[in-house]
Amino acid sequence: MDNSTVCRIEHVTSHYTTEDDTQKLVLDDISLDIRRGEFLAVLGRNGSGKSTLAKHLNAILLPSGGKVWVDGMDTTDEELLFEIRRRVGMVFQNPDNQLVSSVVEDDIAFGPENLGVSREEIRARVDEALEAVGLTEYKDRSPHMLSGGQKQRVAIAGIIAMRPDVVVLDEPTAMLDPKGRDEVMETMMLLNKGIHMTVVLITHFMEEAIMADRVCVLSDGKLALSGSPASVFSEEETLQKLGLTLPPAAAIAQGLRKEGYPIPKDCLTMDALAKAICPYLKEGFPCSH
Amino acid sequence: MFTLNHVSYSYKADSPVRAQALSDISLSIKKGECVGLIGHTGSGKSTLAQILSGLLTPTSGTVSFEDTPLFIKNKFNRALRGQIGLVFQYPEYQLFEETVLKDIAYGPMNLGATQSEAFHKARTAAQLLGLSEEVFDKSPLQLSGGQKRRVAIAGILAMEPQVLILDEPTAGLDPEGREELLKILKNLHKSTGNTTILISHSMDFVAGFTERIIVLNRGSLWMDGTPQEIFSDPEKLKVAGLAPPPVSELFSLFGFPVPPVFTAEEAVSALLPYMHQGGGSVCK
Repeated sequence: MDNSTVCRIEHVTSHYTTEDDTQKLVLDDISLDIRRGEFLAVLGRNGSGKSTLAKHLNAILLPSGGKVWVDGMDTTDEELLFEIRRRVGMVFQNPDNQLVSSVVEDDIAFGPENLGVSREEIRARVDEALEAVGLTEYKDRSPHMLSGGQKQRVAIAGIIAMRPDVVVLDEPTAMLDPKGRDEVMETMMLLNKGIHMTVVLITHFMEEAIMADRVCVLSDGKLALSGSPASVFSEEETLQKLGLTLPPAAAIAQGLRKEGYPIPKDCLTMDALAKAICPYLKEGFPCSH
Repeated sequence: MFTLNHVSYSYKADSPVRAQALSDISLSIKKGECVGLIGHTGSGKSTLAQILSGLLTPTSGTVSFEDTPLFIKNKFNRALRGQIGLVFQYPEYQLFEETVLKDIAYGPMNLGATQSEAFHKARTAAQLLGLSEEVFDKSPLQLSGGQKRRVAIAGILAMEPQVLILDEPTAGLDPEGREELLKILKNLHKSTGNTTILISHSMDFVAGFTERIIVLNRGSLWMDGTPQEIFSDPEKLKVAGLAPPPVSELFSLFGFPVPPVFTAEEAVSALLPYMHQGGGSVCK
């Protein structure tokens, strides 16, 4: 595994035993390399194996078959567990379940404290993490008094303070209002583009997936589709079979194509779509775009 | 159906950490109406839902249900028990029985129905939510996320409430699950004629389902109108921390008046009058 790959998932299968003693396959021979510094979105129906896959990235779950490597370390090696968990941090759906302290900065310090980091170093890391998520002015507040989006950013800051190589976020915006969702997405982009952290985002929102460098789609535990957002979202028929929808801009573009306007399939954002529509606007509607 | 007069609610009203969640809400909801309730996190939506279902007593103000007071001496009027059904967020976490049907029948049994009555009501409710016979004897834990949620909603419906209040029914569901639930809830409203109140952060979901939207902002009533009226004022929504459904953003980008569009198809129809064939286009 060369240095550009931070996590390698190698022919991983995962199953669990149901009540009536039958084996249920959740991941079915998945191979995937996560590249250092990339922003990877993982899509798929409920039950397609997304969260199970995520939990394999920091040894919360171990593969039934195949191997998962994190920075070259085998996740089944118990002696490396600490190192692996330090490198891959996870953020879950419900912010209320992830906050442990009654003061924001204490909450963020909890992770590095457990790693045995020195006091001065913790102070520095907490300040840096607060700044990265834009919550410096809230450091003395109680997390319970914050909005959903702010709470989720506290949870993300707690992970950043552990200085992981990879942050895995499992539907971090599912419980948030539109503003909270935007805040969390902005924070994720900042982590990825600003401090080059590898981000793995599991989501049901197509408009979030279009911001990623690469999109993977799981279906029945298999890797069904993988590629740039533009290439994945141009596979309109396949997407439908996989239970996914088009991002809003792409859906409008598709509708316009049916009306005879050759709007390209790679218009994924409203800005891009607006640009593509401009040449077709009637006179009297000058396109300032 | 509901009339609220100057309703306010504070958590820990008698302590120094008093937090006002709702202030001076007056509104009425008609029988059979389908209402969306939207607002930022902490705007008071869930508090209002809990007041309407009798779980929280307002700190001040009155609420009546079909001319009967909802609260008597600061307590829920027990005569109205079972009339108002509230489906909490992530209701599938509350499933506990051995089989799907038993779980759904738990509510009516609690309200005093005989076992056979309760099971009859459970079957009817399950069918209304599109759950097939095959799952009736399964453990609720064996079902998919979308199915579990429908079992939980059926459990409320089996009590045959006159009002159904749903708090974030689509959170965490995949696009298909959201679409399916929207269809089922629409049909449900049509066939039962229930008064339905839907709380959601998903603007397209609310817009696709309701005839009227109530917007809360920091505990106060901010807007009240048809989806068309509400979503054609993006500026006012923005102040409340909200935005119109994503497809309507395109119109703001062009500086066009924002039409009441909620789906991609509607957006296309609204765009066509501005467009002409010919011209070239490049995207990226």
